[in-house]
Amino acid sequence: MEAAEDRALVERTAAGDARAFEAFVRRWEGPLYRFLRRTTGSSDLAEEARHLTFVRIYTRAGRFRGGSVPVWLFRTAWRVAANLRRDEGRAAPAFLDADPNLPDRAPGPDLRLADEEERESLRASLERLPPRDRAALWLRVAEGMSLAETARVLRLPPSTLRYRIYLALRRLKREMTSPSGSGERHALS
Amino acid sequence: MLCREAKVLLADLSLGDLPAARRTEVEAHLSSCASCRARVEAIGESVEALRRAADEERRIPVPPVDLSRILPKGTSVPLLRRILRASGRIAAVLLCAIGLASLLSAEARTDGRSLTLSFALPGTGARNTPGIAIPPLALEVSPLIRREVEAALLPAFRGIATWMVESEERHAEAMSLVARWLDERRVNDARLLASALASTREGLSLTQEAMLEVAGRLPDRRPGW
Repeated sequence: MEAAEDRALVERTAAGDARAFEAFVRRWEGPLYRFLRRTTGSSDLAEEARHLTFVRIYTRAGRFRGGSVPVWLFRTAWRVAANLRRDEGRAAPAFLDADPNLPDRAPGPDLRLADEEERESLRASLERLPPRDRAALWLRVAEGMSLAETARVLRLPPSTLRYRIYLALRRLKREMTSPSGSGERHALS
Repeated sequence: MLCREAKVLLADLSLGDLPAARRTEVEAHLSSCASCRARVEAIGESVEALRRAADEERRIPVPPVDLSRILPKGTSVPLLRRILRASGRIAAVLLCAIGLASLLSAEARTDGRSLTLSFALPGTGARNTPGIAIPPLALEVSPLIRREVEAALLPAFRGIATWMVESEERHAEAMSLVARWLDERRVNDARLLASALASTREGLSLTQEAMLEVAGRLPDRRPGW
């Protein structure tokens, strides 16, 4: 049902329906922002990449030839973010901790994640993964994308992606239980 | 099943994404391999931590997208709202004008070699033109509905612009088209295409100097209501 609705919104956007485009944006602005923030490590960069992604979606809606709308959307976002980093020649992403726009660290009473240490450890551990692995984990685990869909977004063979995700999850666990880790950071590539 | 075959499937197992037959194989291996059991437990903890983090983030509002920076002017505000703001006879006139404009449909299609823009406007009839020849419409339209017509045409012009910036040859043709329209005093058409070209990132990066030159020839005052 949702897949059909997404395709209908894209088709209507291609036909010039501004309301359909607005509905599409409101539906995907949250997931896209969270994905870009996790993979770029910066709220500002995530917002800029998200804006450019939606501009590209709006101007190229007529080129969408079917298939998965989320794959098309996230693949566009991934390329936009990578180009942004390359064009602007920025250094490796800053620690998430240093981003003033990040959510308040103090856990609220309704948070299911009660362990503040685990949350900080997860952030730092994710930061030490290459951006493509971060993106893969986020798409597979947080967004619930299938292996095949995630592979199409990141342009990796599924078998390669499967192994990278396996290694990334194991490394995440190791890093979280040993926060001093390797300290290696990766620029978006 | 050997460890080296099983361990790459452990992530899919933790994510619940293995076909039933494969899952059975992996679980059978796990029942006799303590190392892989330890691996799947570690992977499962990472997956759960990520899921908790994702659930937490979903509860936090994200900054909304500013649609006014993406949509052409006139389309971000629903037409009905604009009509209701007007009063009396002006509202009645607007209703008729916008009703006419809502009948406009524009479509740009390409077969990779040529571009066809087809549209129908009440009073002028449908025009289908091969190549990149776009008959002048904006100048023939009553000023009362010109803005609405341009807003309706802009997505089609953007389709043209996107197609045009895909190759340097077509891009050069796009720029000469804008310049020719200015010479023919098809100012509104030139402005539409120039703004559509500028809205594409490729168009902007490829033609910044040329766009500035063209923009300098465009009149500042925009024909309006």
